[in-house]
Amino acid sequence: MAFRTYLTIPNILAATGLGSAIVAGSSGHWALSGSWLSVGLGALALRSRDVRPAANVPSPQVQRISRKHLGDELAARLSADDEVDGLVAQMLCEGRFALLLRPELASTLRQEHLALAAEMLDETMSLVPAGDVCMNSRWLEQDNESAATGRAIMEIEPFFLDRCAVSNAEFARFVEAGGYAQTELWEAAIWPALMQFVDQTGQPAPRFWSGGTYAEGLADHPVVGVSWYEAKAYARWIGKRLPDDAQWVKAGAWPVATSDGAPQQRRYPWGEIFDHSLANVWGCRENRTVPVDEYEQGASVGGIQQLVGNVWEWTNSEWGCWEPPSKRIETIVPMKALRGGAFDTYFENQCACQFQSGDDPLARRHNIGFRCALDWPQTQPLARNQEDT
Amino acid sequence: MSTGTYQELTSLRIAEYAVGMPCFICAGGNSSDAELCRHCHAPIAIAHQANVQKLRPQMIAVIGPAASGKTVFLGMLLDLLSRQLGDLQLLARGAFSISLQQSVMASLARCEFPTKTPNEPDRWNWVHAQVSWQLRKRLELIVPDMSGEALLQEINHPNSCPVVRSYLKKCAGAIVLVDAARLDCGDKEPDFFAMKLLSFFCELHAKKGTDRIRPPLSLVFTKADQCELAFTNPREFAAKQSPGLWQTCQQRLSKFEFFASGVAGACGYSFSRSGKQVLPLRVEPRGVVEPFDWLVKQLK
Repeated sequence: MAFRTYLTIPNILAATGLGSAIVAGSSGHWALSGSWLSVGLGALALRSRDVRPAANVPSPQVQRISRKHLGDELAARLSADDEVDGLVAQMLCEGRFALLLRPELASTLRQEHLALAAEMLDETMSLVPAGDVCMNSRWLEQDNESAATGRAIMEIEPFFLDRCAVSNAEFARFVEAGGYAQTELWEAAIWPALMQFVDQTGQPAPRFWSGGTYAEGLADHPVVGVSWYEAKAYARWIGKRLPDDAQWVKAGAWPVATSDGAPQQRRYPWGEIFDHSLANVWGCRENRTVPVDEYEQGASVGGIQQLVGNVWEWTNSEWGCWEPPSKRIETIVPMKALRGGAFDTYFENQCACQFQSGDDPLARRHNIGFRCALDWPQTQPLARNQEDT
Repeated sequence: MSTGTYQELTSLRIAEYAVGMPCFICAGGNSSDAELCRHCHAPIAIAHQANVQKLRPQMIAVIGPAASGKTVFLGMLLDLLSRQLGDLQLLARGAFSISLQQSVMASLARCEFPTKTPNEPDRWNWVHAQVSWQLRKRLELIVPDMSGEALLQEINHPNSCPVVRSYLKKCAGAIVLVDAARLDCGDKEPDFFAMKLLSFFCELHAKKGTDRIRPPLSLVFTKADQCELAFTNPREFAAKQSPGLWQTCQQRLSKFEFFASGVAGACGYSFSRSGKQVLPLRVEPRGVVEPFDWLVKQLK
């Protein structure tokens, strides 16, 4: 599928209503829009067509690269003889462009390499701008809990979030690269459990795979049967991390600041009303996962797909972290937060952006996958690269 | 005028009282305007519907110990079937048949389990529905949401809850629910209770000359989302974790099958004045329709 680029300032401003705020120049909004503007400008600087060497500028048609072959396509632009080119090409093929953006590595790379990494970032991740997000307790709506105890407003720094959940094909690269054997990717506390992270045939791989690989025809489907630890190890290997719970909600609910202080948020990424044609939840299709790039119309304002439906997504936060202490729900083991609902989520309200579920971090369920996030500061080498250019 | 009308109604009422309305469950006599059977507390509406529509509904029991998930299983089953997404379709007959589905769905949508089914039969929810499949095949069914404690009471103290005995005796088949999560933790209580239930059911349906009873039984391991082996291979799970039940089925039943089901993806607990309360963290039904589907297709 071809991805649209959402990271333009007009798009961001139009989507959030900040354009008018900037024009009006009200002091309350200036501070916010100032940070947004810097994010927007940064985003503009990250656009691949702006940093790509002039000779290689392709037509807009050529830019629409299939997500599946994006890494290969980008890597093909590099020389096969040069050792650094070879390393960068390998990283791009594996989708590990985020590692190239780390300052310690970026300083040793050529502009051409950073441009390719920027292009991959632009094609596969969406910028979620800075701002406040309202995190509700599960009791807020049903028990008329007061907003003072049932709601928290979190300030979020800008970050990038994968446009699609991690697919089987993407996770297979991690498996092939021996990710399960690289102990530095895993928390020391989980090393004893590493031997249990095997597939149906006992190979280190997601639970429902067989012989260390996924079933035929499921390459583009989200990887499922992975524990929170496997998701985290993959994210570390690829140079990213799991999004925090509040960041996930920020990306989906796309809050807009209002004069009363509490941001106005969307119930679902596309709006307030649930629409079965926009997400894969119970009763929509065949009660199974679909490719990660389907339901394009259900994308968030920022262009992030399938935040609702298809698979629950692991986040980096503890489950129940937004509940008032007096109404805490106990679990046998501390759980990690899940967001977004899955193909078998029965109730629409349980796949709304504000609904938080949770599971044992060791659980390897048939309907839990994940997507990765990247911190904004990690992309600063690109901004410097742009300035140099 | 008013005096004349009064006399007419009274005579009509006397005439109606003279013709008794036998309860569809226990066949006990009742007046025609009774709401519940005075003998077994089953709704008389079932008998009215059977008479008016010239139907002879079959009965299916959903049985299991207290807190094995009968109400959630039945409520979710009704909701799933009423959406007609697969082969089976369910059409409720009578407004009273929708109450269970309504209350279970309302609770689950709030991420709560429904409150415990009362022990008193007059407070149970009854469902009368038409089930159809493969376009032409139809079946009228009556299923009550029985209390697990009332079941145990009738087993341990016969005739303490007569509706249980009357109903189970008339059942054409049953769905027996067993708590898989408890079995998986090494708790043998669900196994013993399932054996008790089966023995009781077999006793009611025993025929001379054979040890095996004819009504088909679906044996469902509920809460299987908390122990995946039950989902992967319910028969293996039964043989390993519930050997008593497994043996009883082999020896006493002629038609049976093991299934696994789950409604909550994960659960938490809250502690209040009323004690520990289990809460579903999300609702994702699995394996709820299959046991019912198998069972109704075994019925003639």
